[in-house]
Amino acid sequence: MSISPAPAPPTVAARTERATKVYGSGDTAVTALDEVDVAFDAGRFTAIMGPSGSGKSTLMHCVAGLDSLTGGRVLVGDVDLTTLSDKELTTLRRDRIGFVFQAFNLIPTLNARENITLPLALADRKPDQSWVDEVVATVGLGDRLDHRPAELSGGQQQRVAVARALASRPEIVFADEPTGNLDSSTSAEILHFMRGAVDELGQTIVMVTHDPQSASYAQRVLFLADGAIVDEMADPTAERVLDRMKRFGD
Amino acid sequence: MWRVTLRSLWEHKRRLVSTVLAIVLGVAFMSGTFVFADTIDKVFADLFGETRSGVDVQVQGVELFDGGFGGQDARELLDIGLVDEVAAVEGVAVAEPFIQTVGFGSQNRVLGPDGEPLGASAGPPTLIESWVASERLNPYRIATGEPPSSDDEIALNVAAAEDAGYELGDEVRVVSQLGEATYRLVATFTFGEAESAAGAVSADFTLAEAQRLAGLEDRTQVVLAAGDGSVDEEALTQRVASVLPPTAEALTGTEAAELEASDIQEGFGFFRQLLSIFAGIALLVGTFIIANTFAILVAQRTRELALLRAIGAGRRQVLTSVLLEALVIGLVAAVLGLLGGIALATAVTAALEASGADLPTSGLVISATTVVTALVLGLGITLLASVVPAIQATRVPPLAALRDVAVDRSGASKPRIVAGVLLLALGGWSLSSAWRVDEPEVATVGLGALALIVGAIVIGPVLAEPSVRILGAALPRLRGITGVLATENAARSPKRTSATASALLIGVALIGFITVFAASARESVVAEVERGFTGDLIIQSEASGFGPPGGFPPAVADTIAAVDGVETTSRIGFTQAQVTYPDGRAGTQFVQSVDPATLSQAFDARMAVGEVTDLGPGGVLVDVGVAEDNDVDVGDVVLLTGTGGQSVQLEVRALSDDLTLLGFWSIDTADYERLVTERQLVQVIATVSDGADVDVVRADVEAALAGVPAIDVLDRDGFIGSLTDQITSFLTLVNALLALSVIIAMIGIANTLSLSIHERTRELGLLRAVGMTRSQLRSAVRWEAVLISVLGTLVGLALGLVVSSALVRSLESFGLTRFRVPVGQLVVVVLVAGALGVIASIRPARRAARLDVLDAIAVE
Ligand SMILES: Nc1ncnc2c1ncn2[C@@H]1O[C@H](COP(=O)(O)OP(=O)(O)OP(=O)(O)O)[C@@H](O)[C@H]1O
Ligand SMILES: [Mg+2]
Repeated sequence: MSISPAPAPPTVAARTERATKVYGSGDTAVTALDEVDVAFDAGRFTAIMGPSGSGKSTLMHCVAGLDSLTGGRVLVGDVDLTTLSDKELTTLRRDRIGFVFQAFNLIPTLNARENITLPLALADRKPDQSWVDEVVATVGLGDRLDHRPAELSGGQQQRVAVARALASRPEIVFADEPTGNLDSSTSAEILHFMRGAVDELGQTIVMVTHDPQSASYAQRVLFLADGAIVDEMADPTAERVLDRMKRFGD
Repeated sequence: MWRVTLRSLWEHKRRLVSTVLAIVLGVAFMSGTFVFADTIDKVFADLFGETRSGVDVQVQGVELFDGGFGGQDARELLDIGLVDEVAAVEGVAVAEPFIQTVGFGSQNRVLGPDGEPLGASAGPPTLIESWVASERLNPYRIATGEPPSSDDEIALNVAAAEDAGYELGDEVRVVSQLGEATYRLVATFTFGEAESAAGAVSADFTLAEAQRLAGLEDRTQVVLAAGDGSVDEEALTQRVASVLPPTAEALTGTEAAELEASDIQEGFGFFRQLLSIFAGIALLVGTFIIANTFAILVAQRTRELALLRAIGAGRRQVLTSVLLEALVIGLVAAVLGLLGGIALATAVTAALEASGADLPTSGLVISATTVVTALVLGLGITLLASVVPAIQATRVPPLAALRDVAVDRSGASKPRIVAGVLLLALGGWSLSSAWRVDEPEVATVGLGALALIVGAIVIGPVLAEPSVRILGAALPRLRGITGVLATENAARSPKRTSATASALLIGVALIGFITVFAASARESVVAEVERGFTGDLIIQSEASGFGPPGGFPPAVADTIAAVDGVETTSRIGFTQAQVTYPDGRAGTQFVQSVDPATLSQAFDARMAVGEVTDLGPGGVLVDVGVAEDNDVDVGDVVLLTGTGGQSVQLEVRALSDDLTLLGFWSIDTADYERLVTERQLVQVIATVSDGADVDVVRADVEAALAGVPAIDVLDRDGFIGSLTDQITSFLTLVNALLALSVIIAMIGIANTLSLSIHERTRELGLLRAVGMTRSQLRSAVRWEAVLISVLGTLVGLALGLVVSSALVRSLESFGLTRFRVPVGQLVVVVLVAGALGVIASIRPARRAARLDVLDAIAVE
């Protein structure tokens, strides 16, 4: 173990091929995604940015198997989601994908621990206890694990949500404005933690955000406008992202 | 407010349907009962109106005593000479005697060519009558032939003759108290236009023969008279009344028709009351459900209501809006319930007609009372159920608009705990009187039962959460996370869960109570018979459902005695009589006649004072409980008056303590023959000679009685079976009627779940997003329903069990000596409840599974 192997070329955790999503039909049709080709590298933290209504959530939902495309393909690993039944999509979400939403992430009747292991429980899988412990320890929830969501602060709730997204070691985690409801210092903690999961645990994370500060935690930022990828940026900083975003206003 | 309310109701049409359904069913049952009973009442009122249409005056004996439970009133008999005296009254054109005996079971029946009695055994009766010559006085019209003119002739109504395939001139066998006799059919007749009088078999004879068959030689039951038109019926009736002896009274034809109709209607009144009780239970259960539904709706609309308040709606306006909604729902429920009731009554009437009862229905009777009752119940219950939630709605502070909806409100308020515990303690103490007190009062036990059930319902919200957790403890292991979620969801709003389970609890408690009670009664009866019944064979009329015991001709006993291998026979007769106690009070009682000499071979009756053999002519044997209640002791003299007015003075010789075998009052056969006009045996108990095979003798007796209709020859096991069958069919009937309230409770479970699922939309979406499959989701909803229904069922059964054990205990002196818990049957009840829970969950579960994930997780 003295010689570390050369870093393997990044494999792709999920990608789209000419992904198209049209809502409605005829005059009222809205093209939310317009032949999007995008790949999310494994082990990387990708942020998606863009103006409101640009199709960020739609893209994320379609890649995550929550919504279906009207054209093109989505692949998670080698699996073409467009060929899967509802049941297969459900098990795919359960076993291979993690989620963090902006709010209402937790089941109110389950305590933090149960919420964290929920996808595993749904799969009837035994949680890998040391991994769960590690996740919990990293999120810093040690003494609050037996509390119900109502007894947790907003920040704590989001931490539990992140822990849940990681506990099943999914191939890819999707987060839609995970810190949208939080103050900046709590946001920073959570984002720091997410970045840690990528760096130290090798997790793949895709995050939608409006906030340049948040985007700066990512390793790569994709810019979306009118349903198409218009730009991307590697190793972003808050200022550069902000600059880029300003140009959408024009 | 109207417009807002109506629009919001219309938007939730489906919810409206399930909300009103809980009330509609109860109202439908209630109004169906009313419509049906009113229709039947009218059928009989019309019938007797027609029967008496040409009669101006009816003379009858004064009432001796009330027939009690559906029985005909006992009246004085009239001397046949009275007919001429009435005829001689100025203004009377014609007067004739009329005798009518009602037949069912094995006596007073007309046999078909195959030896089977005509007419249904549980349907309309057979009427053995004297033919009335005057067309004005007789409702029957000759269809073919000539009326009976000699004592061996018979006339039958057209339907009966046709059913049997009899032609004029055929021999017709009739079984009466005198045994079997053969008559020649000389005429058929219609009842007005109809082929039968409401499905009855009418058999008419000469007056002399009718008198002989009824045991009324030289006497008559009534004298019918028609005037010559010189005065109206009131005046004529007064004139007739003035010549009558004090034992007779005169009624106008109209009054007579009303009286006869009301006698029959009284019988149906019992039926109306019985069904109303069950409809009432169903409505009570419905009340729970609708109250719960309103509570949930108001809770879900907290934000909307707060918004209303925030933009300036007053408390009163909020109250009005909720009450308006209840008003509309109640109105819809009442109208639908009424329509449902009419449909129900139509179906029952049609079913009755299909089963042979020829009801000359001139359409259903929908009385104002029925409509008003339906409206009052539907509206009243819904409004009542909405009052508390409506008041709660007014307490919603405008600020709640800004807060998240708090669903989980704790059910454990202090006043609730105190009230619940007090009620439970009170109920427990009253019930325990069954064990504490020597002679427990049934009423105390009943009140205790009520307090216990109300207490359980009051304290329900406090105990719902822990109970659900205990019940669901095994679920996580069995069903994993689905089980956890089901348990947590059932436990999350204790008030809701408890109200939903309470609705079920009521019906199940009653079912449990009745089931345990019936099992105990069955076991007690079996034990008593096994201990005391020493005969080998028992001959009785086929069970005729819930009517009075069917009788058979006394001569049957002689036929039995003559069979080879029969050693002794002991006859048991039956009648209703009025007993006048030494202190002058009087009451109608069931009296049986026995043969004291042979009775001890038939059974070993339990006696409190003296022996069965102490009874002889001039004596009477009284149940010790009845004797105590009426302050009667050995040596006292009581007066028994029979249905015809004959009376016998009897001395109390011994006190019995054996209701199963000896009943309340037993007299000697010799006195029975003096007491009644119509003799009938209800049982003959036979022993077989040593060495004879019981089965062989039984077959021989059966063969000897081949000509007696509807009679059973039973050995010991058969006898026990016939007794337990009666209890079983009673149990089945009651449970079938209670099933309605259980079904309504299930609608409640479905309702609560649907509303809860609506509330949990986002949560369910999240579950689906993180990988819960549709079938897992359905399973969670299903188990939640099962938990709630099993909770209601188990608590209900426990209450039923406690109450029935107390009641059985307090009825020990009535022969309920055993307490038995039919574990198997109760397990079935729990399983059925679980299964019904699953059924109740189908729709909500499907709804939950259909949820669109994206809609559900979309942030507002
Ligand atoms: N269910 C739907 N029906 C019709 N149009 C929709 C639907 N969902 C989204 N759209 C449209 O699709 C486009 C993309 O929406 P999407 O939610 O992906 O945007 P977004 O980038 O996530 O915006 P935001 O930053 O506001 O969350 C928008 O124009 C939106 O109006
Ligand atoms: Mg979005």
